[in-house]
Amino acid sequence: MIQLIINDTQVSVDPGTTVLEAARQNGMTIPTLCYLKAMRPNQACRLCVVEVEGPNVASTVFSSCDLIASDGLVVRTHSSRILKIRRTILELLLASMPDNKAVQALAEEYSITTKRFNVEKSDDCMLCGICIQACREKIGVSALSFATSVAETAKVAEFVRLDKERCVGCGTCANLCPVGVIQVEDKGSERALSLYGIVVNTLELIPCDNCGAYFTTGGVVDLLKARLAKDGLDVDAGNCPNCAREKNPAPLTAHSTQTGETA
Amino acid sequence: MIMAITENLKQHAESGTPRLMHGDRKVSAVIASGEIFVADPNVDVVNLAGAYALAVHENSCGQCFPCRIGSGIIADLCKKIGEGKGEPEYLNQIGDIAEAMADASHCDIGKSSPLAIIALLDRYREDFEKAVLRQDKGVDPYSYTSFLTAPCIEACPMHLDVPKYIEEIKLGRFKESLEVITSRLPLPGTVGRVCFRPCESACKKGRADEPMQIKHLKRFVADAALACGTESAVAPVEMPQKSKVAIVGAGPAGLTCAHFLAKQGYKVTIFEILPAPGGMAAVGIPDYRLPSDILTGEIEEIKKLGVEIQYSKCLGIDFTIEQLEALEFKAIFIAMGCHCHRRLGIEGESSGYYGYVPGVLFLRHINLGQYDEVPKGKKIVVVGGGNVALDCVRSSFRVGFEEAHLIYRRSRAEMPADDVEIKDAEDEGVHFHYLIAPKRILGENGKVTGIECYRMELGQPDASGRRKPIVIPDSEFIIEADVVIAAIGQEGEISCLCNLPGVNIDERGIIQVDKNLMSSRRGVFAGGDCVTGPDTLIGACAHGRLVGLKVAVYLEENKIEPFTEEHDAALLGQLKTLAPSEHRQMPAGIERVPVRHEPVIERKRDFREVDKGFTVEEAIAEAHRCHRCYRIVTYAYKE
Repeated sequence: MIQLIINDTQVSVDPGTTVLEAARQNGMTIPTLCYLKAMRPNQACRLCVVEVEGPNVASTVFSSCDLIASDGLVVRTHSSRILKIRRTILELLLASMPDNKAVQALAEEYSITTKRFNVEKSDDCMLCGICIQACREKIGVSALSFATSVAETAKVAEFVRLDKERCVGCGTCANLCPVGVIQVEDKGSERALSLYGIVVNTLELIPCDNCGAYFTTGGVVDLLKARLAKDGLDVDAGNCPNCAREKNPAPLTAHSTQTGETA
Repeated sequence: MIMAITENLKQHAESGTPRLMHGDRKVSAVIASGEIFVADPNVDVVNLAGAYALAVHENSCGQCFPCRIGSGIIADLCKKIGEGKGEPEYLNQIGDIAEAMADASHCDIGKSSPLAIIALLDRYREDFEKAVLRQDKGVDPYSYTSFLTAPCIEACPMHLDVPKYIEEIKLGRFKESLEVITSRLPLPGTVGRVCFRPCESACKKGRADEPMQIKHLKRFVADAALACGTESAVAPVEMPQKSKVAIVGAGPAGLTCAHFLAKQGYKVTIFEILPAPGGMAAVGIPDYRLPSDILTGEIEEIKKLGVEIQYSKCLGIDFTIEQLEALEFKAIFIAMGCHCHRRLGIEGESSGYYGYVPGVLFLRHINLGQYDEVPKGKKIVVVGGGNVALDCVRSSFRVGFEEAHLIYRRSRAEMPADDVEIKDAEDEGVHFHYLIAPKRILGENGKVTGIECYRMELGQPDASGRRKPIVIPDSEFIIEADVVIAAIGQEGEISCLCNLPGVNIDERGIIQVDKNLMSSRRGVFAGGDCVTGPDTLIGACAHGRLVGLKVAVYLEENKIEPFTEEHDAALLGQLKTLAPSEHRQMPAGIERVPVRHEPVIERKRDFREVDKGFTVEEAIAEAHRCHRCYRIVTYAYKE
């Protein structure tokens, strides 16, 4: 176990635990907008910054979502220095995405009453990259990527772009987006995926052999089949999840248990 | 931390105002993360800060919040102040944002750049306070220009945008990453294998834990493009229309130059003395470090641009400069390298013994598959401590030698060869003998039997800064050997250069060129090893690219000036922006991903590639270690 001090409290956590998780496990809150436990830290919102001192580290500010806890670390999550930085970041967030509910709530929590800063163009997307990471690393499709409108600078992310040819229409990005700039909507036999309010992809849905309800895209079924085939398994892709569960719950359950054990 | 650095900056600002130049422009003030110099007291510091913040905003990677939005707001506030619409509160706002950026940003562009703003605001508080009360929009006689650099970029002779292509790998955009490289370097797979990687020595990550493995990442994207079987990384261009340019030598410099000229529409013909292209990269580097299909593949891409290569054509014998000029070649680039070996200057060297060969020749025969020319035996002794010596001694196992020795006159610490190479050679069982120098080559019946050596000790540092080896009297001893190889360096091919009328050549066989790499004969350029003496592959490529671009300007405008990028580099040289003293604390992060090697027992008997390169997962993991130590430099000048 790793022993560290967070806000004057001695805590012990498993090796490899991040400071953010260590704080949370011990009932201490560090605000975040772009952190999801199941995903690699995206380090985008920077609200989770903490002040850290250690055996070999002079007092320094680090983001806690990607800082691995180590023995003897002294962490302060709400020191005056941190509060000042966090307030400024929140003010910047408020300038950039004034209509976002999560930002508004945090601003209120941090007693920010006036809007000090203004930007020309507000934009709800904070370029956290959760959608891109999920599409590439969890789904294995890589349809989403960052893009820029200029070439000759160090800029790598200005907006998110969708490669229609690669997208299978699974909707994971829309489900994970913390600010709702990606939306997925099923209308009859069609699924529409919109990005920044513009429909960027429409896909045909397939009906359930059993009940006739439209339930997913052919691309998702193909992806699933290909993945299961790697383990020598097949999937009855003709049925929607509800009908499939009723008909034969065993094989899929067995598979998920198996992979759960090996993972 | 911030206080310490701002103090540092203040001291710099006060410590003097040297006369800085950017080409012909007299720099009135310059602001960079490491330093602020204000040479002209009339410079409007608010506008200077604004121009700097705008450049940061334009170059902010865009992913983390404080930097992307913060720099934009600072630029905006400075602009408003400059327009006479300022308010005293703006100064607090700028200060707050800059502090939050410096502390909370993710990558180094956001962490380092606000320090300069804070320092400027601190030192020139009065000017800022006056400016916010100003009601009119004053006329600013100064212009501001910004450019971007990084320790790795500055260390690279080609100034490749290393942080950018690493970031593209991190984001999984391998094609885009390769495009960043190939926009300057047409031999990414080759350089990605054999570069001496000055970028890695400069990498700031090296001060926190270990440097980024930039070379392996470069190789990864080059290999990834090959593995995908994507269409040529180089887009096919229309058949060349412009005038003809001749290049002498199909080595890294000549090929890179050809690439850039062909892409600009020039008809390029390369004249190569050897029967194969690639120059020293092809005949000087063994296949286990650089497989020949990688190099030839990249040369094929250059040929696809319409570049013609004529083989076995020797300058001075098969053709002359005058003939080329008569054949309507409007410009000529001499890039013939430096292939003549330096002699040991000891007894027995000229006796014509079988079994005594210069290192470059030994490697050339092996690389060209001329195995009959390679001397046979069981035990080999290589003299020298550079990469050629290492290549010879490691190759010897692969052509059948059983026992390989390397003798070097200083100790391992002074050895110029790449440390990784030395380690690999040790793993393969090469016997290293340090502090030993050759006295004479021994032979019997016209055949080498061994080498007599002195033992050495290290004295005072010499001109190279390394401690000078001194002979220990009466320390002679003999190492028996079937083959002795001399690999103590190369020099120019003077015999051939004698046929270059009007081109100034010094006594060492080095072609003299001006700052635009043009020789004393108009229209005849030179670059690479024949100008620098034996140097690095990436250095030769850098010359090739510059000449490729300069020849085009010369042919179109009939005159050439140094490029802006050369002035930028010169200005940086006058500053300490990237000096090691510019220290910022950096956390020791994720450990580097080690590159896998072929097992010693299997690899040392054939020429298979030793390094296996990164897998996709390894490359992305390694790319995540980069701190993107970009630095913005903004300078003010009067037109």
